[in-house]
Amino acid sequence: MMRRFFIFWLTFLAILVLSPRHARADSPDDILVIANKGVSVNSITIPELKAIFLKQKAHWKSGGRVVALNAKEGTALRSVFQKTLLGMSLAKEKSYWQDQKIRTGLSAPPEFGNLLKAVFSLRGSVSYILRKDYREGVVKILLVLPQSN
Amino acid sequence: MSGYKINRTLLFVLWILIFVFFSIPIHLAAQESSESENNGQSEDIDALKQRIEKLKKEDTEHKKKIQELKTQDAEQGAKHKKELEELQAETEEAAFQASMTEGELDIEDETGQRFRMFGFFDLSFGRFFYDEDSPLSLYGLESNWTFFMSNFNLYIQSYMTETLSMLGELRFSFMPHGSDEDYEYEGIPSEGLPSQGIYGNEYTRTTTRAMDPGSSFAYYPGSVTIERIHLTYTPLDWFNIIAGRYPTPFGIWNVDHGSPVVLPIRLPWFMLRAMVPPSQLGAQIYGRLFPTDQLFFDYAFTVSNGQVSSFDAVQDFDDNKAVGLRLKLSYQGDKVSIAGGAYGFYGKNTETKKIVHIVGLSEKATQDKPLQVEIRDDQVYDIYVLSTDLLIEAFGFRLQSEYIWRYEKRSVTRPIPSNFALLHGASPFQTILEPNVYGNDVYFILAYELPLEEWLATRITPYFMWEFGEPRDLLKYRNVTQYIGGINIKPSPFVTLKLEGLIGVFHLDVYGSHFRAVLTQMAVSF
Repeated sequence: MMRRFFIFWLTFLAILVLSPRHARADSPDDILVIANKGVSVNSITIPELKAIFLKQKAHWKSGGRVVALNAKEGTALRSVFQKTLLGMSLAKEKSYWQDQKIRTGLSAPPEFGNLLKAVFSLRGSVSYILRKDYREGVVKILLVLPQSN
Repeated sequence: MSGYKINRTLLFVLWILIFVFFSIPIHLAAQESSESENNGQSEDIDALKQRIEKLKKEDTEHKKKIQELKTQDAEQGAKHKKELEELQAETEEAAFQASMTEGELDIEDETGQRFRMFGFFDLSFGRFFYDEDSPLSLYGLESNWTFFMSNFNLYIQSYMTETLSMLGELRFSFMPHGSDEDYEYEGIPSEGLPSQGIYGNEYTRTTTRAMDPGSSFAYYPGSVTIERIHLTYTPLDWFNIIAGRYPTPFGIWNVDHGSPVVLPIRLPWFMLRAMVPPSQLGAQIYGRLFPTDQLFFDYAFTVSNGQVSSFDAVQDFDDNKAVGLRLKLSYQGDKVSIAGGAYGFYGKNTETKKIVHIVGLSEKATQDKPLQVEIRDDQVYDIYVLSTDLLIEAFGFRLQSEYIWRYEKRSVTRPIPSNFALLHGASPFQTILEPNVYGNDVYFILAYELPLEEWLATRITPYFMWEFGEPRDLLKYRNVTQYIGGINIKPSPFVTLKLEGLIGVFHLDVYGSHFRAVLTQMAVSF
C-alpha cells in the first residue's frame, strides 16, 4: 500500500517537474534592450545595464565606448524602464544626476524621441524600445524585459 | 313461366354482355386514350427529363465555371493583395530609411563638442551659542542670527572628443571682505610686537571697498578660488588620466563636497582642519574594474605638489612630490549597496623664506656678488595620512563613516605663531617650537529616507551625526566631539532644505566647555 502510495506521488512529481511550462507569448509591450549593430556583445545582464545607465560603466566588455540613450522624460516607456531597471522614481533619478554633476561632472544620458533611429545611427549606443516598435535587421537585441499584462 | 324465367335470365345475360361489350371498348378506349395519353405524356416527360438533365448539366458546368472564376478571382485578389502589401512595405521601408538617415542627431555631451555650465549655491540662516568671551568668535562662528552664504560654485565643462574633456569648478566668495584682519590686544603696547607677529593695537576688518570713478558707486569685490580645473582622458574603464588641479579622491565627504549633496550643513572637523589635502595640483591615474556585474573595484594613484599649510600647494618648494593611493570596493545590489575604501598619502611639506644679502650689510654679499638671495628652509615636515571610509545604503537607510589618521614628522621646525602660544595659555614672548603632531578623526552619519515620496512628492531624510575630532595634537584646544541632528528635505531635485541643531563638546576648556548652534540652509543646484 505504501509502495503504491509512494509510486503514485513520485510519478505525480515527475510529471509536474518534467512537464513543459506553458510558454509565455511575446507581448507587444515587452521592452527590448537594443544596441547599435556595431556593438560586438550579443547579450547583457540587468546589473550591467543598470551600471551603464547610471554611468558607472563607460565601455563595453569587448571594448568601445558605451553611449546610453534614454526615452523622453514623461513617456510611459521611460517611466517603466526607470522603475524596472533603476528602481527609482523620476525625481530620485534627477536628484541622482544633480548629485553626480557636483561630484564628478557626469550628466544623465541624452533623451531621444526616435530611439530606434538614434541607436541605428550612433556607434556604441544602447537604448530600449517597445517590441511593437522593433524592426528586424536595424539594431540588435541584447535583452528582453517582459512586461506582465 | 319458364319462358319468363328464360327471358329474365337471357335479359340478364344480355345486359351483362351489353355492359361488358360496351365497357370493354370504353375500357379499351380509355386504355387506348390513356395509353395514348400516357404515350404522349411519357414523351413529354422524357423530353422534360432530358431537358432537366441538360439543364442540370448546364447548371453543373455553370457552377464549375463560377467556381473556376471564383478561384481565379481569389487568386487574382490574393495576388493583388500581396502586391499591394509589398508596395506598402516598400514605401514604409523607404520612409523608414529616410527617417533613419535624414537629419542630424543632436547629442549633448560625450559624442560631440559641447560646452556647458552648471553649479550650486546655498543660503544659510542661523547662529551659534557659546560662552561669552570665548575665542570661538575668532573662527567666524556667528553669535547673532544672521543670513550667510558659504558656497557659490560654478562648473564649466567641455567634451572636446569622445575621450577628452575638461572640468573646472570655481568657488566665488564674498571673502576676504568682512573677515577679521587684526585684533586689539589688551595690555599690549599700541605699536604692537612685530617680532612676535602682533602688529598694532586696533581691531580691523578687511574691506575690499573700491569706488567706481565713473558712477561713484562703492563696490566690495569678493574672491574666486579654483577648486578644480583639469583635463580628463578616459579611453578605458580601467585606465583614465587627470591632469591639473583636482579634488583628492578620498573618502565620501570630499567627493560629495557640495551642499546640495551632503546631508548636514556643517562640515566635519577633519574637513575644516584639512587633515587630508582637499585638492591637489598634479596628475592622477584612476580606473574601475568589474570582478562581477555588481562588484566594482576602484583605484586612483595621485602625484602632486602635496599639501603646504600656508600656501595651498599651488607651488612646491622642494623636489619631493607627494603620492597617494586610493582603493575602493563596492557592491551594487537592487536594494542594498555597500562601499568601503581607503586612501594613503605621503608628502613632504617645505616652506621657505627668501633672505636678501646686500654687500656691506651682509657677509654673504661681496664686491663680486653684491646681491645674493638665500632661500632658506623655514619649515619642513613629512606628512603621513591614512583614511578609511564606509557607506551602506539599504532599504532607505544610509550609514556613512570615515576615519582619518594624520602624522606630521618635523625635520626643520620653527616657533609656533604668537597667537597660538597665547591660545595655549603661554606667553607670546615664549618661543615654542612646533613639535611632531598626530591627529585622529572619526564620524558616523545615520540617516533614513522616509517612505513618503509617493504621497508628498518630497523626499524627507532625518539624520544624526556623531564626530570625534582630534585633528592635530598641536591644536588640542580645538579637539571636539560633535553631536548633530537634523532633517533634509528635497521638494525638488534642484532644491534641498535643511534644518540642523548641533552641540560641540570641547575636550579642553580653553574655548569653553561646549558650543551649540541652530542652522537652516537652502541649497540649490542648477
